[in-house]
Amino acid sequence: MKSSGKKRPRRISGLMFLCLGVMLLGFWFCARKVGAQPPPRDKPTGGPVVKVKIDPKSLAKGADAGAAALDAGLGPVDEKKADDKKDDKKGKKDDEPKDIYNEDPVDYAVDNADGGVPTHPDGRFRSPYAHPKYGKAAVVRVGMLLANVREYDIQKGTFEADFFLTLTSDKHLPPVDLIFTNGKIDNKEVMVDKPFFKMYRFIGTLSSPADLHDYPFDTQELTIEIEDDDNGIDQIVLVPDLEHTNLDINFEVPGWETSFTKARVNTHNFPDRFDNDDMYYTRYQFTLGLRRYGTSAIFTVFVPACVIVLISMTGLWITRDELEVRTNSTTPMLAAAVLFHFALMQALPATPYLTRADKLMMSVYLILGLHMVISLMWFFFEEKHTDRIFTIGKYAGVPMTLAMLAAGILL
Amino acid sequence: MSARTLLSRALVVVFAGATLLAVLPGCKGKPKIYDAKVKLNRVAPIRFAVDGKPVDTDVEFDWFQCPGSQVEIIRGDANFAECMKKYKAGDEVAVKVDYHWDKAGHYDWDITEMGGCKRPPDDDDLSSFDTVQECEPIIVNGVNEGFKCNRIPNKDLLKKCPWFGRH
Repeated sequence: MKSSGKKRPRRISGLMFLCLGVMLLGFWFCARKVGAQPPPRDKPTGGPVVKVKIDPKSLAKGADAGAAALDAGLGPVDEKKADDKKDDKKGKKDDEPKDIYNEDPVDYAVDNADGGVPTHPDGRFRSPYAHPKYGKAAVVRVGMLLANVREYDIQKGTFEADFFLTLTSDKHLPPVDLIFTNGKIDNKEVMVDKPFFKMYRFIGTLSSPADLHDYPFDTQELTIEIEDDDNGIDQIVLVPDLEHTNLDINFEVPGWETSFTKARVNTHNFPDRFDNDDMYYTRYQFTLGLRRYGTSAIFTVFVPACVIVLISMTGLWITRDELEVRTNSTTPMLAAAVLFHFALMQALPATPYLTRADKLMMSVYLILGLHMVISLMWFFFEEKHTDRIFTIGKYAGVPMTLAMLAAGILL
Repeated sequence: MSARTLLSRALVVVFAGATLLAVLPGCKGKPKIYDAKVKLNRVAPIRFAVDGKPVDTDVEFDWFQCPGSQVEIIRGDANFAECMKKYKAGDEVAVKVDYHWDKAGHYDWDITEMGGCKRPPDDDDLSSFDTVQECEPIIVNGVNEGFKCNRIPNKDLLKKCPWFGRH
């Protein structure tokens, strides 16, 4: 026991040194790991070293500088790539010999003596975006083949469209930059890009507000709006091409009947953004009209409402002796009507007006109220009028019910 | 008559009415055969057998006697392709139209004979299609801004060419 008691402190101090050693070794590894981490992406441009690395002169000096730049992380390299991309975009124009078809009209707009926005003294428009050198505007026929419409959401008014677009011109076209004013394009494929003919395939998410005045007999218009971002009407005049505006074979939107297609152009200008902002632009609009199936509308809205009314109306034949039964034919129907109306409205966006379904449900509420009032009349008048109230309720209540229901359906 | 009896009778009437409403749309008319004339736009054999004979053909035509712009393309089998060789674009030929209730839930039509050539319709045919529309210009402030093509046949069209009615 004594000998073991003497040896214990040595063991403890040995273990302590061992632990300390392991800990130090651990810290050293951790420190190395942390030191090897690349700097955060949003910080690299802040350091002086990075600034040196992205200097094109130092990059040009040799491979060492290039390797150093890579070591500095992704930031500077990304920056360079971004610059390259910008150069690419500009470069294509810059590299090509300038002619009237690719010249940026802003470049030859004339600065005024008193400063301000440069203008074009020649031609119809003063706007710097006018291109008087281009001559007569190209008349461009716009063809459209709508291949598919998916995920139509009537609450948001959004839908996904998949379509082909063709531009056929009678004149060499300037560079065209199509934008979609009522949505965004998720996928763009340039299929043909020739001076007189261009063909694209687009898949995009677009939006058109729903018009629900006639719901559930509504027709919705799904619109695709296209505008050339660069060229005004002095260069491009869009014309809808009837012969080449179509829906694909077996085109169908589930739950909807194709009612019509519409293609038109609208020539508009923006409210003045600067002095002499007088350029007009053509906007092409393709509209697909979708009509809700009538049978579906009748069975989902009108039949349930009529059933509610008819069941409540049966109570008018029940005498005062069975007052409980009579009220039970009306009051639960009121709850049913409210729930049914709520379920209908859940599927639609909020509107500042009454839809046809709302008007129908208003008439249903009035009818149910009428039936309750007729039943309550027994409590307002003396008992000797019981039979008369029953008779009046039956012979006046039924025609009034039917008239109000008809009004709710037809108005 | 007791109130309960009255109520039960009234309920029977209500549910009978509802059942009638549900059943009525299920009543379908009998199939009809119509005779009409069309103008051929294109007769184009699609695929060929080893001996060079067409195994199927597409025929595109206009329903020129019907109001509006009704274009249809039908695909037919080898016999139809062989028989249709004698026709070319621009010819006006007689057709037999089989108007019937379709399993898709609406009325439809099939061309069963064209210019004396039999064309047995195939239920699995995905190539035949039609574009039934009536187009009119969109005039705004006296300027033609485009067009609108109605795809739901109107009364005039259905009066003259009733097989275009799908409902």
